[in-house]
Amino acid sequence: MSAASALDGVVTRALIVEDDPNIVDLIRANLAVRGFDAVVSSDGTRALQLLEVEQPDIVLLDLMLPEADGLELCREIRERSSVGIIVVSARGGERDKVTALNMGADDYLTKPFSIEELLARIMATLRRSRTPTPPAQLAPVVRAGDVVIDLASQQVTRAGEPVHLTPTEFALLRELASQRGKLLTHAHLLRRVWGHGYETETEYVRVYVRRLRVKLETPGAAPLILTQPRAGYRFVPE
Amino acid sequence: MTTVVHVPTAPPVPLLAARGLTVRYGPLVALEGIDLEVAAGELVVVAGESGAGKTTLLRCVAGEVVPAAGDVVRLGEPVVPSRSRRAHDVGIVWQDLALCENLSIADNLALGRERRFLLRSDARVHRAAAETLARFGVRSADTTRNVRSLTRAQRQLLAVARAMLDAPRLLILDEPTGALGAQETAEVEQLIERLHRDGTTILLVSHDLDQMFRLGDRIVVLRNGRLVAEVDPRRAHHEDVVSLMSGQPVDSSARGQLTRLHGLADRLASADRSSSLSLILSTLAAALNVEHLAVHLADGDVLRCAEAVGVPAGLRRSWDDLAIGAAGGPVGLAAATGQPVVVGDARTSPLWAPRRSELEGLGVASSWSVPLSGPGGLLGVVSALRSVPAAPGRDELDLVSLYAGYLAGALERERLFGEVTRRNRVLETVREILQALTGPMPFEQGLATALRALRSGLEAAEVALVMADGSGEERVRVAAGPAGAAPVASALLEAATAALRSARPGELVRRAGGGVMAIPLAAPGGDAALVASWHGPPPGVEGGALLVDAASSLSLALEREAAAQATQETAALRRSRELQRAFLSRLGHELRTPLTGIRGYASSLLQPDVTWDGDSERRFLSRIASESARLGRLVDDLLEFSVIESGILRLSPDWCDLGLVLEAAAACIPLERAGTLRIEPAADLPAVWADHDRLEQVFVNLLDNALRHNPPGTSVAATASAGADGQVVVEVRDDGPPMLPEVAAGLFEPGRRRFAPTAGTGLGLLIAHGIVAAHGGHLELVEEPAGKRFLVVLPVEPHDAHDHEPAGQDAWRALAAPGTAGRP
Repeated sequence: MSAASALDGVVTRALIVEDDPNIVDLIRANLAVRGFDAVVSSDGTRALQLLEVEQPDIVLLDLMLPEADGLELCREIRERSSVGIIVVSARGGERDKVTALNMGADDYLTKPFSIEELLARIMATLRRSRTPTPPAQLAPVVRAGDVVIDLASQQVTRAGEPVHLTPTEFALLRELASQRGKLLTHAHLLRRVWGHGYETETEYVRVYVRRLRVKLETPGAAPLILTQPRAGYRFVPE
Repeated sequence: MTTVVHVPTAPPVPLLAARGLTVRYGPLVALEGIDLEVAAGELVVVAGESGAGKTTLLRCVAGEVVPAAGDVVRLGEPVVPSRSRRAHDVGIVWQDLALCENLSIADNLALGRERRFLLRSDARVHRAAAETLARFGVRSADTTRNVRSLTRAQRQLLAVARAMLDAPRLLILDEPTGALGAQETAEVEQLIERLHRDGTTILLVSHDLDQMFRLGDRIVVLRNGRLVAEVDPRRAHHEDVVSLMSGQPVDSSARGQLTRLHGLADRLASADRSSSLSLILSTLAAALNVEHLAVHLADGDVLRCAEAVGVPAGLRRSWDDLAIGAAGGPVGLAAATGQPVVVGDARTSPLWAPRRSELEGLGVASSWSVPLSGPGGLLGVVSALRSVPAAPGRDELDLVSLYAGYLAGALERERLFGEVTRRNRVLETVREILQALTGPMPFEQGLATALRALRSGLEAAEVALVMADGSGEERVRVAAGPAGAAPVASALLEAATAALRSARPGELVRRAGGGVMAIPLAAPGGDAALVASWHGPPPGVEGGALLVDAASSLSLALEREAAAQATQETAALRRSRELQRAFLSRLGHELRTPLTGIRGYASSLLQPDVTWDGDSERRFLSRIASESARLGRLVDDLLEFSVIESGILRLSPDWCDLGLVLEAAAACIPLERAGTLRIEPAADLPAVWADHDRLEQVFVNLLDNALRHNPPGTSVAATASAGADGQVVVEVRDDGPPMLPEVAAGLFEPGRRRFAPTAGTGLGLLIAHGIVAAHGGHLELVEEPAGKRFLVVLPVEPHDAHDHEPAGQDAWRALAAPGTAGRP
């Protein structure tokens, strides 16, 4: 796994937002031994400063902070940056998970976790934001209505205006648009976008499809992403 | 015989005074021991029957009779009797006028004063006489005429004029109008009034009652030579004087009876209703000249003595309840027959046999009992007891019947008024009860108020609401008695029990022979009965109706309250469930935190691709150990909390010295932190019945929290003192920063608060709360501008075994109602 940090020859930097010193020590020790750089904060304001200054590649965010609302902090981080956010929480309910994803988290990890699990999720998230464009077998540019998706340059415009997507959002959109008109199951999308082991996290897809709709679709107009109930999604055919 | 006699106070120096005046004519005593004073300017009437001594008194005053004893002082000088000497300071007109029938008017005027007129010419004499007569109101007087030519009134006036010629200060008139007609009397009276007005002191003998009352400043009554009374005519009645003169009651006089009845009617109209019976009775006593009278009123099949005049307590008691019929004596017989029962000789009549000794003690010889009838039949009997053995005359019986009519009217009026009052009271009471039950006050308080209103409305001794919970045991839910809600008489509970067994809800039960009424009513969760008792007889129809109304109101109120309570309980349960969910969620978090450390470190050590250095390995292993310990403590606390929460916390209580408990708790605090800790139990602290170890646990938690969650150096003090109502108060106080309001609000709620990872489970305070609640006390945080202050309030002794049972319930309730639980 140490290969991950050597992916581009640059040191991967993680921002750990956590107030339990034991957990901080645990994560930091494991990341350090794999060549990661880690910065730590237990409060929200400091975390936002570090986000600005340190430009981390990934944020590990504990929702239960003594003096900050973790979800609100998640939303603020997402507003400022498309950095990968993994929420690490002792709360394991579906609702908590969906809320965190809605607030812009890329992934959600429930305590207690094993170190392998944490590292795997970190890698998956990093991969989404770093994986170079796969060779485009089909049209590198997909047009649907006033939305133009350039799969090669990862640029998306809507009525000529650029639309900002997070790596996870773009990964999902690319998966759908590159197989236009084809029904893609939840499991397929999860495996392709988040990785192996995520096949049952249906909420992830739902939340991210909803996020894409907000950014790309016009209310009242024909949808870009068609829902196939209990099955999956398909991108509107040509 | 009652007579109104008023004696005006005599002026200091009387114009005329008789003291101990006694006159005898041989063996006949004409006057005896007369004391009389007449003030200057006063007109005193001397009244009395013929032969009473009036004229003798006047003759003494005039100095014509020598008294056997005593004296008369006139104008400050003793009167020396002398026929020869004529007193010029006294003018006297005797009944016979002493006019010389064969002389002229003028001559009569000059009679006795011949020397004065001696040298005058006839013309002058007549002119002077005419002037004199004119002055005294005798008109058309040809003074040369013979007195025989004058009318009777003129002759009387002439006599007065002659007496007044020398302007005496005292004028004595002996029946000046005795022989005159009404018109003539008026003329003479006018003259007397004028003389009186001009300041002449007048002693007037008269038989004319109206005249006495018209003219007199004062009436002195002579009887058989004695002065029996002095009467103020402004205050007395004619018949009083008549009765004084004769020595006989005048009640038989029709005029007196009419006056009396007239006065009674007036007074009844203006009198307080409650006194009308006694007013009529005392007037009847006066009318009949009977000293002992009683009224019995029919009450069901007995006659109760409602009012009595001159009946001593002994007889009154034995007379209080009489049977209708011969068994009830003359009274009972009169009631039974509806006819007057006259017992001519009570000493021999079998009707009086049972009460003979009391009658004899009273000097009663005969009795009459006259029934009173109203529109609804027999009302009662009025009875007169007389000291002479005689049957009443026809008039007397008529009189009693007449008064009986008054009595019946008054009773009827009383009954109607009472009925209206009772109806009003019923309505008023029902209104009060409804108001109390539906008003803003707490239900139990409203119930108590309603019962108090009912008690006063029913005029009951006690009123109680008795509940049966189905176990066969009845208990008083709420009561109202003379001493508030004091324990009710057992008879009340018995009546309620009996009613619950025998009657249906809403069915009124009157207890035979006792002043108790009970009515079962439908109540949620068991049966209930409303029961009331009276010292006297229970009220009639209205009282029963009121009780029935009150029972249905209470029944509705109880049902409504039960429904409201159920709603509340549901809400509390829902809240409790929400809190339990929140608690479980937080519990998950609390359990996951140490598990995260354990699993994370363990999985790190197991990573196949990493080789940890020795320091890291040791650190990881020690973290695993400490997190495991934390997890262990959490599980312990959780078990303990669940014991408290399920209400199965068992205490081992004994008499505890709280000072020692606090010391023991302080000893558990690590030394490095205990430096700023002070323990200050009061000297007079009573021992409390409590579980020493459990209380120690509570105080360790409070002290440890205070020391741990404050900056180093914060001083913490634990004081214990005796509080009010048999309580002991332990206060744990620090001067650290105050608790954030949101933290304080959720202090006793699991799931809302998060402790620092080092602070243990966060259940400690909840467990402490549960332990204190299990002791029947409460733990609370008192808001302070600076620092924090926890109060542990413990009863010296537990109130009741019941108090222990819901300890767990209390714990949840504390959780369910943060900020209010445990507040005093």
